[in-house]
Amino acid sequence: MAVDRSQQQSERGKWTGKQVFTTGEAADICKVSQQTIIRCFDSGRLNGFRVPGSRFRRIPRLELVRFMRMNEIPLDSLGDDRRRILVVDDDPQIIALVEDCLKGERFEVRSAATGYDAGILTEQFRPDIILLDYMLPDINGSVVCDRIRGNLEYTGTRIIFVSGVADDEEVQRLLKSGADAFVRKPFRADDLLRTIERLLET
Amino acid sequence: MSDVPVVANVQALLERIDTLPSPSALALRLVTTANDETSDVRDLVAIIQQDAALAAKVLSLCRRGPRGRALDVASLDRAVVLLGFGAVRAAALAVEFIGSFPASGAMATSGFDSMRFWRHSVAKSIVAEAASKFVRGAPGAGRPSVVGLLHDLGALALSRALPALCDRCCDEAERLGRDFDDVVADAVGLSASAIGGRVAARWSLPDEITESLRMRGALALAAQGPHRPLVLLAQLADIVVRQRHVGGAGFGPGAEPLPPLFDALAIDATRFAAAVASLFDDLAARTEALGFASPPGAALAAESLDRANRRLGLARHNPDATFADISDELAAATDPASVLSCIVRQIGRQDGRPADADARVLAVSPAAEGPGCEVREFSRDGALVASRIAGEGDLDGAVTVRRWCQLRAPTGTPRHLAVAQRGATLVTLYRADGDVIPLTVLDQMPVAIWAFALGAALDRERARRAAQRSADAARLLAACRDKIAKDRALASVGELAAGLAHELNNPLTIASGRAQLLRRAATDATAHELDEIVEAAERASALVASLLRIARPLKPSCCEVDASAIIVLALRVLPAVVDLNRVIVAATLNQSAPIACFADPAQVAEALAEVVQNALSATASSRAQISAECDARADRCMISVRDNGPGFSERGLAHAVDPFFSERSSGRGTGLGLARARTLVEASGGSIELRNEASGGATVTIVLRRCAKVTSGVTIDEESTCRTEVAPLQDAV
Repeated sequence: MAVDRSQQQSERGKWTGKQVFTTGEAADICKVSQQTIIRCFDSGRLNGFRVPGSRFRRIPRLELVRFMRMNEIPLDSLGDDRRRILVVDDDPQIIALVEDCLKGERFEVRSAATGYDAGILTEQFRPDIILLDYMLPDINGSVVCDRIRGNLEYTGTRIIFVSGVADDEEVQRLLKSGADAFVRKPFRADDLLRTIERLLET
Repeated sequence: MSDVPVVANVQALLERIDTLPSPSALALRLVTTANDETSDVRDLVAIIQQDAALAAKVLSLCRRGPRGRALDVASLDRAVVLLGFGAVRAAALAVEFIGSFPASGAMATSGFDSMRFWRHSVAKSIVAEAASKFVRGAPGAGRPSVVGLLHDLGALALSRALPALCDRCCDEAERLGRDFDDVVADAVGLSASAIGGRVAARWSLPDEITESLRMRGALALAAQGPHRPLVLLAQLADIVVRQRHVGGAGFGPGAEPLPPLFDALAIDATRFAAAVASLFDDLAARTEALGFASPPGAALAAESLDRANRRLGLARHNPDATFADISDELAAATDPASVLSCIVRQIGRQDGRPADADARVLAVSPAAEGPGCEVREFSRDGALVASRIAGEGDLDGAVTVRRWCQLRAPTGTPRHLAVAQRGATLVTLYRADGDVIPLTVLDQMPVAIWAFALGAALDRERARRAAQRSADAARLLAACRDKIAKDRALASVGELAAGLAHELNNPLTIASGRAQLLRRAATDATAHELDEIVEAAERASALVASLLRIARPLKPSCCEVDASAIIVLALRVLPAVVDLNRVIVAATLNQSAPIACFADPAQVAEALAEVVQNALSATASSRAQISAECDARADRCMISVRDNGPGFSERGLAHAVDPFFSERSSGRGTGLGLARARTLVEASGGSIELRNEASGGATVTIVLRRCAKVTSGVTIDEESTCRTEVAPLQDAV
């Protein structure tokens, strides 16, 4: 059993970190025939690109994950147990700080500086957790929160407001708008991590 | 009311009187027969027998007469033979006249009482007849009797022509003990006897009757000519009957003496007195025979005695109080209350008896707006009992104010006894049950003084109240301005804090976050320094947050809670921030006798904790004593925190609850503690009061609204109450 598990782990680790897949690799990961992958690619159900100067199909990792999720194919064989976190803040230093706090193997972190970008990235990146600032240059964090909560596709996405808002009633309002947690700035890095872990477990 | 405009014009009054229906032709014929010495007995009997009812009544009257009782009077013919021509004629005349002006069935309680009036007239008729027996060569044939009977024809005519006026004159005469004749003269400018004379002439009554009506009172002795004896006899009868108090209002004894009349008529006073001794019995018999029920003679006598006694009571007034005394006493009274009680006292003195406890004073003045007048009713101690606006036109310039009160007082309102005019302010007095307080002195002067004093006091009172109101308003305005300024300042602090919270927290996050990341790889030496950075950033952020909470406090959820429970809640919070050994609780935390107040327990407990913290930071060694008490009178509860520090400076007392105000050297405390406490307490509708104790130290009191009982579920557990002490602060330090 112990041998089996380690074999499995190495098998899973095979694809870790790989960002672009061939149709053969994708078929292997999805445990379907290459023809099926090609058909889905050609019909537009699986997005990707062709290698310039040739007709070879290539599939980006995120798109493959999306495809697998949509078709309820277990992600285990992709060997990707890193959780995706989207940081939305208009202050690049804050984004850098959060990225440094979450640095490591366990999280894959993307960032957005506006509510608009946050919306686009949520669709592309499919984050497990969104760390959302309240005051954004274009739209308020609460509107972003409303939009995400309004889309059934993202029911599994957890939203944590990370904000300097000090007004207690405002905080209550944010939590009511569908956020799962509130972390007040300035935060303790440990508190932020604990909150993220707690929400990932549920 | 409708007859008043007529009264204002004597001419109109006379017209009204002249149009009165004359008595029956039969009555007039009887009168003329009386005047005709040659009249035959048969003529008289024939006239009387024209009316069967009249004949029966006359016969009955004759039988009941003083001599009729002794003789057997079977028929009118026999009556004339036995009693004399004059007696029968007088009886017939009385029956006929009374029939024309019938007595009302019941005795009137006020106003003109025709029953009493006729009793009075019949009594005069009896006395005149009796007196004529003593006069040598007196006119016979019942003529004195007729003159006596019709002596007050004027009053009778007035009661027909102007009944309301007549009633009021009667009341006025009754209250003041004045003569009806004089009161009528005052009111309408024409005496009742003058009216009587005019009516007699109009109806072509015999000259002797007209003469006796015109030459009444003091004039009687001056009468000359053939009718002098009759005039004098009528006057004599008038005085005698008045002295015996027979009759209604205004027909009491006058000032005219009897002896001159006895002299003029050469009557022996002693024998005369014996002749009229049985007056009441004769009167009872005669009135009953005339067709209206009469009490027995003894009852009539008792009634007269009663009237006499009442008159005596009225006349017992004390005229010693001079106007100077009255005004001196009033001058000392400045407010309406003391003026009114002074007036009531003075009236009581004038009246010769103690002032009524439930006396009321009625003040009438022109309405502040529109027509009509305002009638205010005060109790004796000057309290305003009622106030109403009397209708338009109640006060009318053509009629004097006094007459308005006499004549125009609407039915059902108290009749005015004491009335005066100052501007148009009237004063009148009456009891709570509506009865006027009788006054013997209705001189205009004291009443005018009362009205003047009351008017002046009311003016002063009005001015004082206006000044008071204006001062109150100014104070309120200043307080509101102050509050608005503070609220505005607080609102801008809120705006600022909300902006700061966002803008400041981002850089603080970066500073703190970077320090935390550095600390992960840091040595022990630098770790401590990095921790300091983190803590400093958090302190700065907390400051902004608390500033925001001061400006925008959470909405309180108030309930009826025990002040002791609030203290217990505070004691649970305090150990985290202060050394509890420096806190003494001098309140008895007793659930059986709760100090119920209306507040948000959690917020006020937080405020109390801030206050205690502030007290303990006064000096390093200072201690705080918490106590709670209830001020039921002011409807408030207080939780006080007293310290033994240096107390507040003058500036501190004014500004200690303002944000960022601190008297401590810099670097100690944020200066937000008391400001936060104030915001929290004010959210619960309470306030914070600061004061320095004379014995040193300061007391900060949280004042809350009191309520009847405790309904909140905040409980005091045993563990929390174990620190309860009652040691005085000084001893403890």
